[in-house]
Amino acid sequence: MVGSPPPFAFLPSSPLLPPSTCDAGVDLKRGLLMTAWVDHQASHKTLWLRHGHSRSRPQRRPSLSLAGSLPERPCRRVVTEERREEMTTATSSSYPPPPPYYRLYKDYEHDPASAPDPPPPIQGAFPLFGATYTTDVVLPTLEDQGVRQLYPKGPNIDIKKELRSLNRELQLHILELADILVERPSQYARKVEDISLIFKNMHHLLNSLRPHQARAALVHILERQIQRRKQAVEDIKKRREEARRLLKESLQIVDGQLR
Amino acid sequence: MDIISQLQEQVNTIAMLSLNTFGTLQRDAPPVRLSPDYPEPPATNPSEEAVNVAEQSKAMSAALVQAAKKFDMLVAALPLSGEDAQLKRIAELQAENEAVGLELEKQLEAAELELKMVQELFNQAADNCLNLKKPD
Repeated sequence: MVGSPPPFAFLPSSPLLPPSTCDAGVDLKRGLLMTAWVDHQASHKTLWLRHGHSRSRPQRRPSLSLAGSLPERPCRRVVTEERREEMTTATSSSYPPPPPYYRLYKDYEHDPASAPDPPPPIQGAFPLFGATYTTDVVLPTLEDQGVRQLYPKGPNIDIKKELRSLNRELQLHILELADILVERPSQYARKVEDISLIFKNMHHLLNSLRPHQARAALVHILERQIQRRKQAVEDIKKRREEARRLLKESLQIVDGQLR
Repeated sequence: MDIISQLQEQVNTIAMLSLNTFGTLQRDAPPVRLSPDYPEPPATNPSEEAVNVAEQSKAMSAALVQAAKKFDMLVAALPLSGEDAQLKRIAELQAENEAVGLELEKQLEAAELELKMVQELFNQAADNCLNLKKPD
């Protein structure tokens, strides 16, 4: 080691200096700005570190020298990558770098199998721009929305019967509301709440019928497809028959001409 | 429109009708006499307005009941069946679809083969025709 470098601390946000320089730092003893230069010579297999108070010219004698060989990649790349990331977080005007896994696809044109497979589709809940979404789309129950459920719970309920009874209740409530507005007009709020509760229940029941509708649509599509395929099979059979018939006829004609 | 959407529309219609009914009645109702001390307000065509209100309320209530009846009718027209029955039918149809698809593929292959053969024969016949006809 040649000389002893002064206690040195890097400043957090310094502009990027030309290659083979490190960023400016602070001489802790004297509190002055300093610049460090890193120099690597592969021929000598030595790494030199120089300090200087000037930003353009290092001092002659290196403050630190290390023996050893570095990999072929220049020191600058390690520095600039870290610097670039720091810069992007520090200044919002520069664009973010591309995701680093682009390097995995370097040989894709020559050997498509060398690149990794795309990630599998996400299952379950996932966050996106701060909001949580889910792949499992299900109608939230009325209790989840804080609404009382008027029709009975359970796996098998007669939806038609429930809808009809909700309709009757709705009519009754509307009539009662008219009565209340005549007799006790100030107590309308409770009745109006009841009516809106019935409406919410009706809409929820109707929404719960949608999966059933989707399955019925699927059945319809499958039936139509089967019918189209059968029709195509019949068409092909017919055409083949016709072609065979024509061939036979032409054969007979040719035979007739030969005799 | 599919029947579930029709049902949903009908529910909204009932809500709108009841809203309009109560709103119109509240707006057009003649003032009520609170106490015998207060004098009656000067009558400005009270008979016509009263008749209007009575007729309007009759018409609006009739419309409300009609809407409820239509809702009942739509509910009766719902083609509901159990989930298991539907899933079973879907599985059946898928199997049938597979079978028909295989047969279609078979027929298609055979037809393509025949087409190739016929094209070969035609080429040969055309070649023979060309070879038999000598240029003068």
